[in-house]
Amino acid sequence: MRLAFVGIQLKRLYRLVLLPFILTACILLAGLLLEGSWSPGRIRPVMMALTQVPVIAAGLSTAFVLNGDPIVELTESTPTGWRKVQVTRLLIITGAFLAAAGLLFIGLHLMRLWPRDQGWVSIITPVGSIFIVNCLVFLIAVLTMSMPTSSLASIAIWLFLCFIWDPYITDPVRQRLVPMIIAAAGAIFGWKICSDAERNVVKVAAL
Amino acid sequence: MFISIDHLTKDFRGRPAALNDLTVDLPQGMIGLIGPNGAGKTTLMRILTGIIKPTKGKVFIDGQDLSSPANRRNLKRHLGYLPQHITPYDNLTPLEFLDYIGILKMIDNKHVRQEQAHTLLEQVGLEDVMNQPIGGLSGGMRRRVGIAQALMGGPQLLVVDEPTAGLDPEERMRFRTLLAQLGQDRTVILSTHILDDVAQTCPWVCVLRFGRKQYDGPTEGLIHEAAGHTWVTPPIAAPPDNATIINAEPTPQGTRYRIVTDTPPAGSVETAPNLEDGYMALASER
Amino acid sequence: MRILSLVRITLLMFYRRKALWIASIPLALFALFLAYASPMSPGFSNIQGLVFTGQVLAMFTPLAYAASFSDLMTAGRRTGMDELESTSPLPMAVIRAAHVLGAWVICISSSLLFLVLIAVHQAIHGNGEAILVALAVALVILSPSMLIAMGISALLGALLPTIVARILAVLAWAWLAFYTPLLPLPTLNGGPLSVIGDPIAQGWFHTNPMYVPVNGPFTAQSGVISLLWQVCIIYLLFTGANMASNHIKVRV
Repeated sequence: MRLAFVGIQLKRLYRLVLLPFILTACILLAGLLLEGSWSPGRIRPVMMALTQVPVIAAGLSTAFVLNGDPIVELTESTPTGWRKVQVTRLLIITGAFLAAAGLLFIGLHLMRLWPRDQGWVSIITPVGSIFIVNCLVFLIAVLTMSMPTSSLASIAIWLFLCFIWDPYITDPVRQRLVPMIIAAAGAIFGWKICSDAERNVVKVAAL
Repeated sequence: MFISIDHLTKDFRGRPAALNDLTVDLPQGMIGLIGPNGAGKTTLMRILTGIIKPTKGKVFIDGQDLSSPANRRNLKRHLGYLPQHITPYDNLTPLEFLDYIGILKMIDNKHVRQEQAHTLLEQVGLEDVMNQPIGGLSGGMRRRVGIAQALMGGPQLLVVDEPTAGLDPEERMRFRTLLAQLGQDRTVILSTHILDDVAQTCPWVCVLRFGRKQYDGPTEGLIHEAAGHTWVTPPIAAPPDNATIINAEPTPQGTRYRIVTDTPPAGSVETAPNLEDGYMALASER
Repeated sequence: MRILSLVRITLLMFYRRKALWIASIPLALFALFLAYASPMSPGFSNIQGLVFTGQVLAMFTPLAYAASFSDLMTAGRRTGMDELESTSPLPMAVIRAAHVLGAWVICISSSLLFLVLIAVHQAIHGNGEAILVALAVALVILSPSMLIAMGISALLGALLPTIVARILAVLAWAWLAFYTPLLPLPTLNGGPLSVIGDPIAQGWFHTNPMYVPVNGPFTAQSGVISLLWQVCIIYLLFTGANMASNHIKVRV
């Protein structure tokens, strides 16, 4: 039965589930094409820019998936409840982007094109970014139930990681450990708030 | 299902109490829930469906106290709910949407869900479009999808809020017939502003006003509130004073008013009251 | 008078979108931090620093606004308000312009607040014209950038599925705002058509631009051309978004 529940969510979200893999394929293809004609020094800034695209897309996709559902009240009237639906969607979209990010890293790492590559441990950076962004977007979505706000927040979080945090902390593990803990705590907090059916229904009605 | 509501109060922050010490017992069968806007009908329905919790008081459904999360969850397995505003997912077909609702209602068996979905869509007259995306259907058809989803799982308690809003007369008649059949062996709470729907289908009615119960009993009893007080005036130029106007019918000689009053204008003819008259008679007593 | 009343109501509607206001503040703070920490920063204690901060805000904050406003022209269609508004004697373009104004107020307010706070600090320490400069920077550097980002978002949102529009709008703004010779992309930066205020910053406020001008230092005329060019883009983007919204069917 759980499979049927996940299946129906996938049916609605399959395009967004495919998106990260399409992005990954495009970036890997770009790397492959450039590898033959440009020097690594020239390719790396291109890859630095391109490897940010999945993180941006992850946050915006999560914001899209977690907001704007028209049947919140109806879902709350069923034994399944709204929280389970939201968490399932979050897990599906995050799982897809995490898997694609992993594949992207593996591909670029093997091509020696991953920016600031410190070995296999550098996989923490893209995977951690997506985890952090998605967890915090989940929290924002629960608090605001607003797609514009969640989208804005996802970009703000990415900006912070990309331009403020990462340039100063270059070790991948230290770079991602604390933000991931904070993001996980935020997601747990959001999960607790989401259990309040009355709040979910009244907040949607007020929007 | 037998519903017992005991001193129910619901406050929302910064607003007057939506429900104010409400005590009422609702029997099995078709129950009409009526009242003006802001009376507390939607709040009551949300409490009965376990969506929100009361500030004070208790609700028992077949003896089970709804303040227990386990009891609320159990209730939801036997519940069908049609909210006033529902927009089924545009990119699913009616069949897929009902399947989804069935999953949410924890109907485990896929074949059972599919079979129920097919049957319900036929019952609401959507068999020809059951495989078309909901986004392409008319407003009335979407409403019927909403009605069908409420019936998934054969609920013992059906709560429907303005179910016939947006339906054409033929669809309304069909829905009334369907509800009447359903009300024979389960509890159906029908909240609507269309009193004719209540009169035709509900032997029991509960009237709310300002979060309190104003009337609770047989529909005939509410109609009887206006007995001896319902009149049709002769054609007159201006509306009569000290009367509640139910209807106004223009004629070449003036306007004929259907009124509820103790002091009808001269020449008025007493007439048998209907539910509208009874409701307005009750309202004017406040 | 009618249009003023319309603007007032729209501002009231957007004023009540508290979540968006609150989310804008950390966004502006991040950009402020970047302005402070940048090796190019002249600091916060002079006019150059004020203009530089404004430019950094103009580069970074529109990234988020490009992601947020893809439904600026289409939200009304989903709620049915479009239909109601189209029965008004006021042209839809005017009504939608009021919506854009309301959104612009949200976008500019947190950045403007921080710019003014920096300017007040400068004024207290003797730089009397700082507050005027802050307001001018908000008007001629920050606002056009934000409106362009919002316009890109609105146009793409009217033409494409929501999520695709949001992602592309962010990427489009990133291309417009950020340039490095290491990336093999054509750019408007370095010329009078730049959308991050370089010609205005150097031509009007005599500060160093973000990107080295290709054809020598920018002049006051370059600043005028730049501002007019940006106004044209803004007009074209929102007109295009308005037209697209009128002709394209509703998407979920």
